[in-house]
Amino acid sequence: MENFPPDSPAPVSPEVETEHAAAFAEELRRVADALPERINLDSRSVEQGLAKLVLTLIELIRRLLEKQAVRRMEGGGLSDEQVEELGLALMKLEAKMAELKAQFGLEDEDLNLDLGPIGKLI
Amino acid sequence: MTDAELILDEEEELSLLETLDHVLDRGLVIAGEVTIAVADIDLIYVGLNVLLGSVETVNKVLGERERRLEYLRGLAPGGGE
Amino acid sequence: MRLYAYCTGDELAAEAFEEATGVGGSPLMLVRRGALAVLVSEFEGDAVPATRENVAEHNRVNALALARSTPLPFRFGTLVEGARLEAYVAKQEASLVAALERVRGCVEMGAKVIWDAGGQAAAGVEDDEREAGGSPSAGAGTAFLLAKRREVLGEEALRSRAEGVAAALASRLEGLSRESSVQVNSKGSLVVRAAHLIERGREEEYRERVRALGREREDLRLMASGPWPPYNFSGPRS
Repeated sequence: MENFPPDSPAPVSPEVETEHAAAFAEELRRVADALPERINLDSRSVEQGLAKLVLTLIELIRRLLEKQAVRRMEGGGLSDEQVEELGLALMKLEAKMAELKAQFGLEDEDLNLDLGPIGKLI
Repeated sequence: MTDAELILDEEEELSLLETLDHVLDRGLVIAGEVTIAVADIDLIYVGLNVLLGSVETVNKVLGERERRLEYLRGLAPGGGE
Repeated sequence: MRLYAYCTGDELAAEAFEEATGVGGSPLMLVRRGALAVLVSEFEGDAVPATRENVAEHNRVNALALARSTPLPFRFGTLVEGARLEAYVAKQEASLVAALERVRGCVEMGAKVIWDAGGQAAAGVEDDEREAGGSPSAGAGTAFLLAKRREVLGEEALRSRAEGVAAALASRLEGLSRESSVQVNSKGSLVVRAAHLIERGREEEYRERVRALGREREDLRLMASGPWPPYNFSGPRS
């Protein structure tokens, strides 16, 4: 049985040590604000909840497409005209997404775009 | 409840926030048994100021929020419940 | 009347908790099942308000338990009926025992790192000749893609620097950290959030190493916290 040596002081409530308390407090407040919301079932929030879900998916795909386009451009396999066309198409897509987000009153922060490790794939 | 009572000094606030970062989102969970009142509401609607307050403050703010929500529901098309 | 559950372990001794009270002021009790015990207190109500006081109580009770052994802590706000709790322990016994073995003799310490996000973003990416030159007849679509390219490269460079910070922390704690759980976030200021499982008694060594890293790296701000019961090491291994 593991026994704590009798002469060692018992750990006090966890200590926090830093020379930058204000900076860390600010960052941790941001983290706390980002914790998952409780699900509200009144109709307005269901609608907004669905919009968020759909727009999140579209936004992820859109970003994936942008990155794919950049890679193809880098790879040198596209003519100048193709680059121009692709760029214009993606520009329009970006503008359309901005419209949709505005329509639902959603900012990027509202869409759950942070995928953690999966984000590296996009 | 005065503003002064809601304000923790930097170190106390950081200590609380760091504690929250450990106890709110991690640790063992008995499926379906995490029942935190107010915490998620706080974080969405009221921000951490209430979380840093006392039980009385929390109840007061909850009461106000409930009254506000009732009012908003009354304004919604088709009326409230 | 439901029970508020603080932690569970196989080395929890009733004497340690005789004089103490928990969330809401109720006395602490141990619910035993087989080799395991769960530290609880009775709680009135259906939900636990996440107030400063209650969080502090949860913390204090867990610290009391941690003083003598290393239990697995429950998430804040865990309320259960007695029967449900016993069923949980019965069902999870094997994995709880395994988890306790994993953390035996250890405590959890935390380290967080802040960097200058604005400065990092500005550091950006080497200018591409192609971009800088840019054919005057390049259209809007091309300009758009070139800008995206710059963004993508910048993001990748940033991510790589963030991983570098995490590596610096890991290397500093080499030999001290038995296991770690690290989150790296290249966007924003809080670039690294880490939890480490270390041997009891080495908490001050941990803090000193974190302090030392903070002294050496002027571009970083460091914070150490603990000891904690193993919040980040109680679940299934990832």
